[in-house]
Amino acid sequence: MIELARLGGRARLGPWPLLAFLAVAFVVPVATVLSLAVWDPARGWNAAPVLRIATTPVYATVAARTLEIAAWTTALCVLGGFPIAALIHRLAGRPRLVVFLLVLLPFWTSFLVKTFAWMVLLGRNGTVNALIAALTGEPASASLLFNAGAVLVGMVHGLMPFAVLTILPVLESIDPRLAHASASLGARPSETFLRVTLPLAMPGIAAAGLIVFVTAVGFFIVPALLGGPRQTMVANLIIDMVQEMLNWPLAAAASAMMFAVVAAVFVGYVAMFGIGTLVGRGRAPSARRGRPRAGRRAFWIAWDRVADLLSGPTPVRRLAGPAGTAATLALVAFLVLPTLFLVPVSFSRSGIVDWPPELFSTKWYAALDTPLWRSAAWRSATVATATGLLSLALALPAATWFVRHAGRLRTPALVAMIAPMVVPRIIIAIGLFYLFAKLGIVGSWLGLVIGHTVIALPFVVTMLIAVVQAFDERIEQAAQVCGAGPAMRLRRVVLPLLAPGLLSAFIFAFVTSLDELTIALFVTGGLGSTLPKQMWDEALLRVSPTLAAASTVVFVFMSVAVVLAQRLRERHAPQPTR
Amino acid sequence: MPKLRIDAVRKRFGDVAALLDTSLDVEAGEFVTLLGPSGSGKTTLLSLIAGLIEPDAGRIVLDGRDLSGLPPHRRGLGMVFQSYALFPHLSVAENVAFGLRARRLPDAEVDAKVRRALGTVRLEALAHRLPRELSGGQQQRVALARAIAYDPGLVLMDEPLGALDRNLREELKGEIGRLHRELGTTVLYVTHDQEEALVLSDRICLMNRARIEQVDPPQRLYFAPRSRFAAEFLGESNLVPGRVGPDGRVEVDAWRSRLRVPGARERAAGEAVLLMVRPETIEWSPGDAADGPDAVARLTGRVLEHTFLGATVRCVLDVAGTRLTVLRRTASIGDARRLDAGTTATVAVVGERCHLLPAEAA
Repeated sequence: MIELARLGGRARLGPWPLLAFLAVAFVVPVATVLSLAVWDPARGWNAAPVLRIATTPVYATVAARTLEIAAWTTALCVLGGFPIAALIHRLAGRPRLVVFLLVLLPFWTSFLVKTFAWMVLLGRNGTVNALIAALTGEPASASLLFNAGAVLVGMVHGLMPFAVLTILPVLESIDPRLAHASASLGARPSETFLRVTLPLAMPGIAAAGLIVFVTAVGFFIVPALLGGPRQTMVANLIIDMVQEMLNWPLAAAASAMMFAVVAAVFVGYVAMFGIGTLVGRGRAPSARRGRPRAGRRAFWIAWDRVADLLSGPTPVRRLAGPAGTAATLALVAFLVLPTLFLVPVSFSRSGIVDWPPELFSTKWYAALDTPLWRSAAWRSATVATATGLLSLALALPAATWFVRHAGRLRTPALVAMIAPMVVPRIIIAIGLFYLFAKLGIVGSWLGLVIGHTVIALPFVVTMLIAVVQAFDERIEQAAQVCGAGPAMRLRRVVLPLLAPGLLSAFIFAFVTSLDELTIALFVTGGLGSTLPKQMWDEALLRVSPTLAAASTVVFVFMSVAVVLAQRLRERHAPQPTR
Repeated sequence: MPKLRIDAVRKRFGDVAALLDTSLDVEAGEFVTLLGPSGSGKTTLLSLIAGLIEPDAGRIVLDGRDLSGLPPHRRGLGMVFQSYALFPHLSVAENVAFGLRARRLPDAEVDAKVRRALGTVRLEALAHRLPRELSGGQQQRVALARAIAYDPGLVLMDEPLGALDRNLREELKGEIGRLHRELGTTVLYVTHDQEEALVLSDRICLMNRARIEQVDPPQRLYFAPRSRFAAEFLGESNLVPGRVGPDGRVEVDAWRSRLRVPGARERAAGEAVLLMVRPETIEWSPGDAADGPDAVARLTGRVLEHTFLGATVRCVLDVAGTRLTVLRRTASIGDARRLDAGTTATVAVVGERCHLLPAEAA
């Protein structure tokens, strides 16, 4: 290794800057804030907060509800996400690209924007009620918001793209000839699916479940905006404890509880499937070495009866495939369409959000042109740029080291590098808030950049590992043998080959930061908002067309960035990572 | 009734004809090899039989049953895939049991047949390993066991030895031959390796440019090819243009010789032909050659190349401006002695051992 090594080789940098950064900006704050649950800096050991959480019925109720909502969200996201991933896997060429982008867009659409969309759809004067009224001829103003159903719909809508994009690479890694082999051995397609495809896809399905569950357990945007008091989740509680009650020990105890649940789920996952699938490097699942369970044959004989029944009449057989595809496309539509309803609302002439909006006016876009929004947008842009650059600077040496030199340290290194991905964001946020308060950098620009970099790093590292892996070091050696010096190799060989990957990783980090609310919620302080924070504050006051206008701007911007990043990766990366 | 009848089957992929009208009968218990360069249509034909793709026209009949429109899992075939396609999540035993379970056999019978199949490929001891814990050769033996476990009447093998190194290939070649003899199964085997085809096959179906070139037992295919492609694909041959003379001799202008060649009398006088001479049939010491009128052509040429190959020496001569490759057995170090380029040598082409091909437009 020559130039790439110089960019980030073992001798000079390796993973150490990244690990040091994570130690200071992630491990220390999280550990500190969690320790407050049992340790009072002034008085020493202190079990009171944990006891209070454990003995107050309302906290138990909230905890149980959080787990319930998270579990339902996980189940629905995986159940809906799998067929979408399978559809993309099955398609080829243009249709594949289109469906893939249709999943990618909601994936990168801000949670806030997606949630606002549901407020428009489900509101008292919203789209759904308008539709019911139009169909029945009676005015409908059923209260569709502020209940458990709305929360669940919002969460599933927000998180299902994560499930799709986690399952897809695992499906892609399954050797297509295995299905042929299974068919040649006499297994009908449904049996091939159950006995071959599904077991092999299991690590991906479980990884999707893990990622959705971890995010859902720590979610606060959807319950706060779409739910009522009865849908309060633990994260909402923690925010209240920190911001309203100023009760750090209590918040710490609640966080510790959440952390314990997530850690248990994570450890269970790693024990069963290994760490690789989380970053798109599948591992063959272990075999069922034991005797097949009794009754298995009976099950398959029953299965045959049903399958014969279903595939018997030709019309049923003919319709089954297209019907399945149509249902899956309906799921994709569920992911894509809701956000689009914000666009007409943003051009409404009236000051209240109702459906159908009175068109056409651009005054809500004009209303965005205030110092408040402008400074928020500027702050978001600069923070996102700095986050992207800092992430790249830390992740490139680490990724290079990981691919070339990690050796037996691979697994622990990977766990360390992607850890921020599996710790609920709310815990990282209050940890940083606590630490920054001590250091006096709450409300500072730097604090935001540090926080956002912690969040973005796992994704950036994962992407860069793929980029470095795709880089054939023999090409560089060939350039050297041909007589190219270090400068020429860097300029003519290394950078042109790595640039698309680096740029798309930068865009990912940029977009992540631009969309980030949790950290911003705590870290912005009096200084002024970021764009998501400004939108959140506005949304807590009222849902206005201004918000729809801001959402539309963000949505369009993100869409352009995502399509751009995707095109870059597909054009230039030898092995596009998904 | 043949075991397998391929009847005027045809397949195109877009603009590319993957298989032109092709017909082939395979008898029960026969080992037939589809041999040809890549892109010759052999894998297409195999995939059509397996049902992985559907033909544009024609029928495939197995045991008198038309397979058209039947999905792969209803065809009751066995198939061994290139680089194995073992199920990575199942143990060796469960891989072998897969087809038996798909046939809903009772557990006791499954166990017995798995044990028998693993015994056949001598892998009983590894029944509980995972595929990734096996060597390449062992994995291929599992793939074989999986394909024969449920006694399919026809086993398709798609370059099963392609991914193995040379020694393992030798070993498994023997194994496949033994399996075929012991089980009496009908085997259709795809390869581009002529040695595999020669060793294993009852008949070789030579394919070229999306159609069948010739179907014959290996010996016939080697000694009596019917086309220039067949003569050149299998083994090495010298092909020299000639003409059938009025007396039934073959006249070779390049050598200024006349030869008595089998089959020449059946051809019309004046017909242009290609004379095929296998390099190993040429006598190095002309004195040894059987004599008679026009029985041999004694040729003198300059040595162009002289390569020692161990059991043989390969020598290329320039005979009056045409190249002639001669393979000489080396019985002693003297036979293998290096001949410098430019040295002259005299050899004898034996008419009896030559073969006539139709001359074709270049």
